[in-house]
Amino acid sequence: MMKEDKYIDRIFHDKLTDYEKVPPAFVWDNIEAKLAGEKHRKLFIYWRVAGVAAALLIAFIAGWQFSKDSFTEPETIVENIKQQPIQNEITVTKPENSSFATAETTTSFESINQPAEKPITAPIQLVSGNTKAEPSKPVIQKTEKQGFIESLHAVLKSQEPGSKNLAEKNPLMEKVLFSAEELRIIEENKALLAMNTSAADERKWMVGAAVSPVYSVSQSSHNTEYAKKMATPESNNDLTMAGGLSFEYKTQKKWSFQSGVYYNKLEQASSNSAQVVFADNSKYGLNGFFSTPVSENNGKLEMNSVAGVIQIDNLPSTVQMEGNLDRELMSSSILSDASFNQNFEYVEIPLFVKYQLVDSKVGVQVLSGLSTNILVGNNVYLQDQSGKSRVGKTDGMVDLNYSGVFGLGLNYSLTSNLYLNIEPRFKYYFNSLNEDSDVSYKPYSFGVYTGISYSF
Amino acid sequence: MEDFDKLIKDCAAGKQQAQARLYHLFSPKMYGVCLRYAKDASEAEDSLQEGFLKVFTKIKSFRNEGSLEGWIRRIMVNVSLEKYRKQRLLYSVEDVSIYDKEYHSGDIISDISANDLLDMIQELPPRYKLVFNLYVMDGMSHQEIAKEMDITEGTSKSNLARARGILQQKVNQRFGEHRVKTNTKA
Repeated sequence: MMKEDKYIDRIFHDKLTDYEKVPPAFVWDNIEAKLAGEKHRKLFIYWRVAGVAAALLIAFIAGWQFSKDSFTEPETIVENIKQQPIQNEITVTKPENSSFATAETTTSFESINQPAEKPITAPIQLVSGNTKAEPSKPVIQKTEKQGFIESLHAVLKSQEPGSKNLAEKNPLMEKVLFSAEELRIIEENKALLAMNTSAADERKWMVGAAVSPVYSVSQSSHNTEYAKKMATPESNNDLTMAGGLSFEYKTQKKWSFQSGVYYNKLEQASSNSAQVVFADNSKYGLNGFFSTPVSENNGKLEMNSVAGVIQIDNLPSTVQMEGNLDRELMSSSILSDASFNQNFEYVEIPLFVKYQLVDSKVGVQVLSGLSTNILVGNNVYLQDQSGKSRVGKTDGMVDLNYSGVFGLGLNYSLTSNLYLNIEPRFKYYFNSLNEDSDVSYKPYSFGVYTGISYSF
Repeated sequence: MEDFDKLIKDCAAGKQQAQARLYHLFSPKMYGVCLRYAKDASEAEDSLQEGFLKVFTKIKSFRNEGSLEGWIRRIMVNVSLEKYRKQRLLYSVEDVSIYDKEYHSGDIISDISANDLLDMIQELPPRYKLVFNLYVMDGMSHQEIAKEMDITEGTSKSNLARARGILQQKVNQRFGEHRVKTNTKA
C-alpha cells in the first residue's frame, strides 16, 4: 500500500517538479502596470503627507504669531507705565461688571509738565484685584500680580503732554515711586528695547552659502514612434547635489528679496529595454537579452532616451553591438548589461521673494520665485561591469531654461548676525529641457538647502 | 550567484530593468507551480501575477538564507493557499465520491506527458488538489498542511489518500486498464 502510494506520488513528482511553461505576455504587462501604479501612488501619498504637514506648520506658525501679537508682555507694561506721566487720567475698566473707575492724579512735579517728545497713547492690559487704590504705586504693583487675579483693561491717556522719562528726570520721584527692584526692571527693559529697535533697523543685507541634496523626479512624454525605440527610463534613486552663494536684501517690513548663483545637476538614468529573453539564456546567466535600437546618423550612433536623443561618440570596447552598422540608418542593438546616465549641469540664477512669518530666535519664511537656468554641462555616461565612462551627449538640450521655485525657510540665529538656514525648496521647469519635438522632458525636483548666512 | 545579489538589490530599489529580468528568469517555473494549484490557466495567471507583485514588494526582506527560487516558490504557494482560504466557504466539505483505489503499472510512465498530469491535478477538487500539491510536490508534512489549511492532520491524510485515488483512476482511464502489479519501483 505504501509502495503504491509512493508510486503514484512519484509519477507526478518526477514529471512535474521541473515543469516549466512560459506564461502569456500580458501577465508581465499587468505586473508592470501595477508596479508603475504603485510607484505613482506612493509619490501621491508622499505629496499628500507633505501638503498636510506644510498646512499644519503654517497653521501652527500663524497661530503662534497671532497669540504673540495679542499678548502684551509684562515688561512692556512696566516700560509704558514708567513713561506715562503720573498725572495722567487713569481709566480702569472692570469687564466683569462693566463699571468704570476713574482716578485722576494732580501731582505737580515741575519736570512732569515739560512737553513730551513722544506723547504716548497706549492701551495697556493690566490685571488687578484692586481698582480704586491710589493711582501711582498700585499700578506698578499690579504688573507683578498679572495672571493671578481677574483681568482689567486700564487705558492710560495723556491728558496733557507728559514727560518722556519721568524717573530719569526726577530722581526724587524715582525714589518715591519705584522700589529698587522695579527700577532694575525698568533699566533692563530700556536696554532691551534699545537693542531691539537698533537690530531691526540696521541689518539690511545678508550673504550666504548653501548646499542641498536634490531629489529629481522625471516627468516626460514622447511621440509614440520615438517611444517605441526608447531605452527604458529608470527611476533615479541617486541624489544629486546642488549648492551656491546667495545675497538677500531686507525691506523695512517683512519682505525680502534674494538672488545668487547656484550650481545644480540633473541626472537621468536609462537602461537597455529588456524585452527579449533568448531561449539559450542559461538559468543563472544574465547576459545577452537587451534590445535597445540604435541608429546611425552622420557617423554618430544615436539612441532614444527619455530626456532626448543620446549621441554616442565612443563606446567602450566591453560593449557589444548587434547588427550591421555600415548601412545607413540600420537599426542595431546594444547587447550588454549597461545603463546610461545622462547628466545635465546647470548654473541657476534665482530671484526669490521671501516673506517673514516669524521673526525671533528661530525665524520662518515662505519663499517663491523664478530661476534662470543656464546649461553648462551635458554628458552621457555608460555604466557597465567594467565601470563608468563618458560615451557622448544628449542632443537638442536647451541652453536656457526657466523654472518656478517655492519653499519654506527656517533660520536660527547663532549670533546676532550669523544665521543657520534650512530651506526646503520645490522646483519645476516651465518648458521642456529638450527642444526635440518628439520629447517633452520636464523634471521637477525637491531639495533641502542648508547653509549659513551673515547679515550686515 | 553574485549576479543575484545585484539583481535582488536592483529589484528592491524598484528598477524596472531588474524586475523584468527576475520575472523572465523565474516566471516559467513559477507558472508551472501556479498551474498545479489552479483550476485552470486563467486562475494560474492570476496567481502568478499576484505572486510576482508580492515578490517585488517583499524582496527587500529576502535574506539570502535560502535559495531565491525557493523563496519565490513559497510565495506562489502562499498565494494559492490564500486563494483557497478565501474561497473555502464556497466548497462543500466532501465534494467528491470516493474512488476505489486502482494502481497503475510502471511501464507506461514515460508515455504520460507532464501536461496530461497537470490536467489531472487541476481537475481535482480544490482541497484534495491543495493537499496533494503541498504534500507530494512541495514537501510539506501533514502537520504543516493541517496548520496552513486549518484542518486536522487526519483530514489532511484522508484528503491525500482520496487525491491519490482519483489521480490513479484518471491515469488508468487515460492509459488503459492496468491492474496493480507488485513490481512497482518505489
